[in-house]
Amino acid sequence: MAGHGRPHGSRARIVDVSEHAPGVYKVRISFDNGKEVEIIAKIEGDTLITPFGAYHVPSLASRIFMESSERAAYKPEAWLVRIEGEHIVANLPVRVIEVLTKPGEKVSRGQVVLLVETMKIVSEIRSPCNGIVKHVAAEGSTLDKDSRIATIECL
Amino acid sequence: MRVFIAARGEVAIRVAKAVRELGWLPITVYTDEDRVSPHVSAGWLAVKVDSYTDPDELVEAAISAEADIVHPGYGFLSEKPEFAEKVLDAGIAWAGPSPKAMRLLGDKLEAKRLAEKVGVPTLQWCTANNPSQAARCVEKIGSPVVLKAPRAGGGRGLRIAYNPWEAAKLYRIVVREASNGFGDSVSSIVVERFIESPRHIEVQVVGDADGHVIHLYERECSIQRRRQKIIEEAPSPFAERVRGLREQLLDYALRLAEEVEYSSAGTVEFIVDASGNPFFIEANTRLQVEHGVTELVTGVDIVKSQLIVAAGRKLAYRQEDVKIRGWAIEARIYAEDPWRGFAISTGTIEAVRFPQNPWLRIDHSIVEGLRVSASFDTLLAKIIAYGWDRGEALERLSTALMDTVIAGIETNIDLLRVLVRKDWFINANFTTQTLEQNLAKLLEEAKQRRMLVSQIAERIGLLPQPHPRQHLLEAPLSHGWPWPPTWQ
Repeated sequence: MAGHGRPHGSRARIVDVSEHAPGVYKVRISFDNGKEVEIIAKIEGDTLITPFGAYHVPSLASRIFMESSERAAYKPEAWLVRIEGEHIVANLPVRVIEVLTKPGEKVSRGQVVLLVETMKIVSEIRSPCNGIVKHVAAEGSTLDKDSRIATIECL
Repeated sequence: MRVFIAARGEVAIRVAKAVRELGWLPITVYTDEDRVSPHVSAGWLAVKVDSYTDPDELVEAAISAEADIVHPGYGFLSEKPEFAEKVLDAGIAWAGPSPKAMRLLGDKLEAKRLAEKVGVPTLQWCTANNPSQAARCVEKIGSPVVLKAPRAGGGRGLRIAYNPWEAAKLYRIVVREASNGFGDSVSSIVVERFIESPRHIEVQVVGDADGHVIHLYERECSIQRRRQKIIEEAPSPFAERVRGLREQLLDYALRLAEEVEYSSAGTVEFIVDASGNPFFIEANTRLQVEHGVTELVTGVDIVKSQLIVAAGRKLAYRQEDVKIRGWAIEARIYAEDPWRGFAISTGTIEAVRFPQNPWLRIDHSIVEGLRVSASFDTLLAKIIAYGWDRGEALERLSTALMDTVIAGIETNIDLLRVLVRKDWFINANFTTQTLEQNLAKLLEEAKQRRMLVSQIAERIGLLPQPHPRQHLLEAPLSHGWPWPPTWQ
């Protein structure tokens, strides 16, 4: 198969799709760098077989990838918390293990505000900016998904 | 013989198969949440328990099931000497090493002292009972260092510090994780010199009841993410490349195992620096997830060996019978979302397709409709490919990954598909850091490929289209359907 397993670093665009046998398709793909390849895609039952791997068709549409802006803001603990305005909000239920800052305290970007535990793993939650701590969850408390862990007023 | 398998998932199925091959009777356990898991029906009897980790309950279940042998699988209680003792006290044989050997090797400190005693090199280390001791430790042995809680593993209770100040700060985190994760209260941790880009190579050993220990050669598990092994292979490409390394590793492993009169199967783990100097890191006193690659290249059934030793019989092979033939590579499929920081992905498995090939071994415990929860390990399947040489095994693994479908939950298959095609992987130029260093690029590439496949599906017309007569589908049904409302 043409292009079998070759890594394609650049963005791809589909130029043409044609069925050349029942359930067997020829797909022409062009890349940013001007290269064009033809690959073969086959359908077997509910599985779409391509040189990039076999996929269950009904599940293909359900995956939504992170927006690029969100990815740019990605930090090591981004799976655990997200920033909503001034608030640091939990993506998962967490337990506050240790609070390292007090309300009113000045914090710098990247400074550890508190330690939380989820799935038996302790994570450091860092300040997204230079600012002042307005609110921080109590030590030992258990917080639900989507609740505020800390509030930091950015300067 | 009746063998009680105190494990769940793929390893319970693997053990049950070996039990049946011996003509014995496998007994599996399950909790309420696991009622419909495939491992339950792998046993000819299945016993319900409230927890997989309550030793007393499991021993009681084994007694009431009239078990002759308890096999602990891996994980859960497999490395708890207290559990082994309870089993043995109940007059049931234990398919693992003696509780004494488990204690000596299971505790990282004890194991290091033992290694030093028998002349096996280890990394410089000291213990710390508080943050300032941790900092002083770093000043003494140099940085970087790794802070380890006793019995840490799987990325928990392990942190790396690059200076004394950082070590003091991380001390608290490590102690906290260890106390939470393992149910033991700890304050003493090990601070150890950290080798920055090592390779991870381990030696499989098997001992019989008389203390005769033989080795089954080595495995390399350098493809890791945060110390979670992802791809393993036997033999080790690094041990093939560096003259004398294999002999050294095997000799060290046997020295340690013989010192504790090791019986049953176990693994001695080493890290090897860039110039080929091995350092002992720890010993695992149980069956390992990656035992399959060693079984394929040596032809030895490790689980069966454990059972035979537990039954008090002699092993059917001697050291001189064990040879490496060919190459085996294993890829682990986890229920984790690689694009979301490898967070556990849960849900119902909607489709499962595994390829079939005489040189493939797929150990798994998933079926369509199975609910995957966050309560247990995220390992879904192990795809093990065998080949005449490394190149052939790799091609088989790559093709098998291409043909494998697990849908309904997010997995790391797309990441593995891209990873096994990388030159640094094909040429075996990697360390335990290589995967993490290349992760961002690999994930982007895997994402691009997935999006391209979605586009192809859309162009072919496979993805759901809005219904052409949507208004009819949404129209309210008259009462008394199928009869029209006017019908009387």
